[in-house]
Amino acid sequence: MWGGAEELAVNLQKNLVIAGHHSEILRIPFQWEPATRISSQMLMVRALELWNVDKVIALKFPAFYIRHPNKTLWLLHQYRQAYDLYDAGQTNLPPGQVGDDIRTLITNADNEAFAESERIFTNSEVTRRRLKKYNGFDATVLLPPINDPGLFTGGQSGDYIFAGGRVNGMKRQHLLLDALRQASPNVKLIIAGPPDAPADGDQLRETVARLGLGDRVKLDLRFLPRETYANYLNNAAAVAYLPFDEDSLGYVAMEAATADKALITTSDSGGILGLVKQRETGWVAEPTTSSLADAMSAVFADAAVTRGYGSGARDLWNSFGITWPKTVETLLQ
Amino acid sequence: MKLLIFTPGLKASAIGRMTCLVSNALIAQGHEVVIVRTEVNALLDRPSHDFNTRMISWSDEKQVLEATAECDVLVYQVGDNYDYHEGCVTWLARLPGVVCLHDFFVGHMFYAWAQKNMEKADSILKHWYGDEVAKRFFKFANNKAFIEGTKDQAPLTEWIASQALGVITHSRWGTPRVVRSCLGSVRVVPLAYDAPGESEVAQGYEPNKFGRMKLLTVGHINRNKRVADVIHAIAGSPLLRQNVVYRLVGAADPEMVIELSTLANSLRVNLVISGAVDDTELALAVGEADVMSCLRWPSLEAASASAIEAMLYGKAAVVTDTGFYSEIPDDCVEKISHEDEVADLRAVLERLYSKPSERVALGERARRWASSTYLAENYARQLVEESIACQKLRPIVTAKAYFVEVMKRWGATDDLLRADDTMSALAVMG
Repeated sequence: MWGGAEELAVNLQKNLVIAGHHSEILRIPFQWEPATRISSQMLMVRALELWNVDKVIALKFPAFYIRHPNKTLWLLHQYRQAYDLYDAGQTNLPPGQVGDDIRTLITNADNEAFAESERIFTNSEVTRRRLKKYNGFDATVLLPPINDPGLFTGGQSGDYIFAGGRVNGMKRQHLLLDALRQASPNVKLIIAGPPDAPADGDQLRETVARLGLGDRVKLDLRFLPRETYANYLNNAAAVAYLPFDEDSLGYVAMEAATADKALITTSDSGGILGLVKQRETGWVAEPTTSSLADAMSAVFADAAVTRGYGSGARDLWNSFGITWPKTVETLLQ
Repeated sequence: MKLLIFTPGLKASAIGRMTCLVSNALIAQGHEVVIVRTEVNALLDRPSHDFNTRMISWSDEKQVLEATAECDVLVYQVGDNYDYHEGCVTWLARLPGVVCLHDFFVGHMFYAWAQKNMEKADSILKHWYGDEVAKRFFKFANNKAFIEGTKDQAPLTEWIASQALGVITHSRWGTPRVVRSCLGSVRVVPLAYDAPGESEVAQGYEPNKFGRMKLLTVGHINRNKRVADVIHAIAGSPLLRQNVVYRLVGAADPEMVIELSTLANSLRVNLVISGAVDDTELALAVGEADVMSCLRWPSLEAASASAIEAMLYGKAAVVTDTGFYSEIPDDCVEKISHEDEVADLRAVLERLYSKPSERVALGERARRWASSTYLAENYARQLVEESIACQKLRPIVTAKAYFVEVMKRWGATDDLLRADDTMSALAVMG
């Protein structure tokens, strides 16, 4: 699996080196399924020792179980199926006592790892609140910089809305297709990115065919070269990104803001709402077909307004002052 | 090698006597030995065997920890008697080592230990034998029912073996459970034993002295030694009733003395109950015996000191064809079927009485075989080999213990620890 967390790790390492440090990435394999193997994978990580380094920066579950006397957490992901997704009925843990036992184990192990960490940062306010709610630990939000800002210089305001990033049920690209049918006929959509599973791509292709949207939708479902991805984004009229309760601002949204693009998201998209302000930087729709259709239509109703929202998004993002040098300095404090 | 050996030290303990022999052999082979006495506090000041080395008490924690820090391996002599082995159970749980397992049933010791550790005991029973066995374990009406109800289902050898880095035991019959539960190697080594003064005793021996064949049973007199059945076997034969004196040497409860005396009188069997005697008297009793009865049922021990002693003294011995006794060569003892015990025994005793030369030849074969088998030097050598193997195993055991400790700290239930997906991940360590 290669996603935002992996990109972040690569760029963190690169920027640590730029700042004059020796730095390496230790990738730790982890598989969610079957859930009954989670505990042994947790143990495996707990057995790892890195006494020959001065500092460990741990990013996500279960990597943050690694032992080191000088460990800082930059928490991107807990095992959400044991926390908020469990409460939402979206867990992969088995029902009954076995699932309860694994959940207890994860909570206790997390608490132990958090307690032994020198400092805890989170990648978003959502992650910080979740950590406080479920584990009782305070943390400081440290928003991640984007990795290659030079690629996102903006461009023409094209005739399509761009929805980029990983394709899966949680990212809800299918909602955009449903809404497109009700949106103004001049609205077009490009969905581009790698499906997590073949079924995720199949579902989108089937929906496009079923709704007869072939002439208004382009599906480019693969792992895109960064330049291709940036080209789609730079030439879009607006960028839509509506994951369910995302932890962070989301790279797609941050890159769009860097490129002066207006944003569309939904009211239940979590961390993205830190960057999408209704009618300031874009549109915050309800996660319904009609509300999203209205937002998508609005993108092309008044081009000047849309461009204004794009500028607003860029200004808001820049106001955060999130750069790699500052981030590295904070993490090494 | 520096060995710290946990053992009962008092003279009444046959395990203590055996350990004394091994300790002396280890020292003779150039090793260093420190003895930790393991009896309950009330017995710790009783006179002990002469171990010929430094001795400390298991209850002196500071001394034990200091001695542990200086030794290469810890050795625990474990038998089914809590009063003699409290220190073994206590320290084995804290500091794993090589276990010399003398019994393939340690339920009595577990029962006594559990009185102060009921929660742990319940968990151990459930872990090894399941909820139903755990429910029943402490509810048997008497000792006989307890042994019958637990000897096959819950012998608790797993409890001890699972805490050991390796196990030495003294016969094969009970090893499958030990092998399944012990992380390290399990080896069968003949018990170390001797027959002090055997030559003097042999010189004074007269077969069928005063025209009677002297049959002897030694040890604590309880039902397990089948004394009543021996009396019945003698009574069932006019030849034996007329010509056999049956002697019991060893402690016996008053009720048992009365019961056996009454039985023997009613059946007109010549029974002599001598009670507990010192080592010298015991050696004399063995020396003048013509035949020794070493019958046992049930047989739960890994080796029988009295049967070995009988063979070392060159005596014709009668044993039950079960457990440890079955593993003795057929031409060194007379083996009796438990199912037909009285009739079998009667026939064997009649033959041994009628053919003294056959009896002597049997005893001589047994003496030769036992003298080259139950050697303290061999035991000491194999104990050192096992200790070296356990030292190599220690990192694996430590790693597994670490993982279990981490899982428990995280709140893992026994079910989660036992789950296939957890166990299979840990199996990679061997």
